[in-house]
Amino acid sequence: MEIIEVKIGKTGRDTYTGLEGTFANIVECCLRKKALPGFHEKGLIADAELKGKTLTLVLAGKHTQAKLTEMMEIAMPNIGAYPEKGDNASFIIGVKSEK
Amino acid sequence: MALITSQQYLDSVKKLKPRVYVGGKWVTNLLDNAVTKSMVMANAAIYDLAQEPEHQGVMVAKSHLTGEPINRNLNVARNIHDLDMRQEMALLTSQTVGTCNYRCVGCDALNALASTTWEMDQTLGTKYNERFNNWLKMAQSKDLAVSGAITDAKGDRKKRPTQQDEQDVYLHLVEKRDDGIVVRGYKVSQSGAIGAHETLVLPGGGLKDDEAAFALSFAVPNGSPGLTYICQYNAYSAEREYFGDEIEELGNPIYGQRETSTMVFDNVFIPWERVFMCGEAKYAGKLVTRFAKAHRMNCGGACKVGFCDVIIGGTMLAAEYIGVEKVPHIQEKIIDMVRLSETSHACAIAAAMRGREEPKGSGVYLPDDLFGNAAKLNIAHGFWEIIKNAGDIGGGLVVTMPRLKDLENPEVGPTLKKVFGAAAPAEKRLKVAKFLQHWSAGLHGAGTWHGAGAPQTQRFMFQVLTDFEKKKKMARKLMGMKEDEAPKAAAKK
Repeated sequence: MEIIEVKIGKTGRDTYTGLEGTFANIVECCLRKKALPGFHEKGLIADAELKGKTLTLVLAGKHTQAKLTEMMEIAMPNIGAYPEKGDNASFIIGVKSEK
Repeated sequence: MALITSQQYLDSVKKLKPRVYVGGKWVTNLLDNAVTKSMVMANAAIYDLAQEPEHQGVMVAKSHLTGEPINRNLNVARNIHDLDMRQEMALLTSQTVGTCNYRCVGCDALNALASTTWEMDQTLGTKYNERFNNWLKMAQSKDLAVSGAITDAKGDRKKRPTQQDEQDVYLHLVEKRDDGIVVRGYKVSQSGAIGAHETLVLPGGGLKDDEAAFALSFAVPNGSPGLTYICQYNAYSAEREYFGDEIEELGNPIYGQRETSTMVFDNVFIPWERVFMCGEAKYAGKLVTRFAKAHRMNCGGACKVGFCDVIIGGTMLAAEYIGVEKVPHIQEKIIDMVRLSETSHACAIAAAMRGREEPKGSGVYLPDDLFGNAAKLNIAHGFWEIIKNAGDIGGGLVVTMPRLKDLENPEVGPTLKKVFGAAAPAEKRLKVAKFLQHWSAGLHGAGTWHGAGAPQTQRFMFQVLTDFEKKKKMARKLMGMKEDEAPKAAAKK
């Protein structure tokens, strides 16, 4: 299983687990398809960058930390990653608001 | 958390955001749309059943992977008892919701995969079974709703998959990469896929060596980008949308008709850990045959029998409400309904009892093929007879009735109550007439005919599985006829 940490702002930290390949799937969606799982409107991904095992996402528009957290709580299970407490994340997704 | 409650399932559905199209609209929340909600509520009821102590023997199993209690919809049958409880689950769920157990196809798909991935690993040295078990452990630990997608659109039936003008009519491989595969194409008539967390995809049928691109099996999360669900839409969908919250007007108020969709895969990426077959064309037929073996027992011999139980109950009420329940020909017709229905259930029980490990050493038990096919073929024909009798005894009212709420209309209501009052008040008569309309003029007749394969496939299996020579030999022996006597006599003429 893969542990993925989602970092939002300075304090937001959530961990998710999924089968191996889940992070690769998220990268595929966000980088290639320019889509956040569970969100079907075009243009939501303003920018996405992969450096090693860290994916940085910039979501179009202005979103509070709470809103970004809520969006990731939807995105992750839609790609087969589920909330789970834990350390030692193998992968990191940093999420920012465009404005 | 190996068994979740219906509320936990519903909470998870609020976060499920598949791309769903229903009758001209995109649905952003499955619980806000009347049609998709009925499907989700049926799934929720199945989760409830596993929480009820009186049903846990049927609905709960022990995982062979972890030893934990799991929902039987995610269980791999490891013995005859498992097979028997599996078909009992199909019966119970249909009696409870009067529509699909939308986790049923997924359950039979995962049993076929447990068997076939094991065999592929033994023969080919692949790692599919290990991957499949990892996926299954995860699905069991989260108690995921898993649907199954098998039927390809198939295009021109005279042509093989590679010969089709439109390649996407068979789901196929687009690209094989280091981290996974990319697939595209269509799967049609997928029951309850929209409200599932994941879907298990299987090939649509047997394949030849040069059709490896279509030999695909994998698990896909419901909200994967590139995946779209175009839902069925019909008079019952329109009626449900029209009545909105007034669901008491409908034949199956909460759980509805049977909801299916066409799944459109537009270059969907599947990580390797979710891929359970990729190119092994020789095993596609085995995988699908094993799925059909399980599904014909459950769908034909138990699920539809559960439907028949509620139809027979409704028909008896209709007879009582007009005072004909003791008329001999009415009783005879009801007995016929029971005979047809229970014959199929007997075949399902026989299929379970004669089940066996397949292949040897896999630890996976599958039902007997002949009895499973008998269950399905019998109910395919019997169901039409049963709904015919329901329409017969229910009377013309089943299709000529006004709306239920018209009984409360100040202008026509008092008249309607006089018109339709009989041995029971008009409200009861119309309510049961609407229930029987749902069945006898609804989608389930053709659905039962085609579900788990149209009857021609069962006839074909009878041809393959029956030892006709043995039967001829027995007849010759009784008649005192020598083995080659009949052919020689015929040759002389």
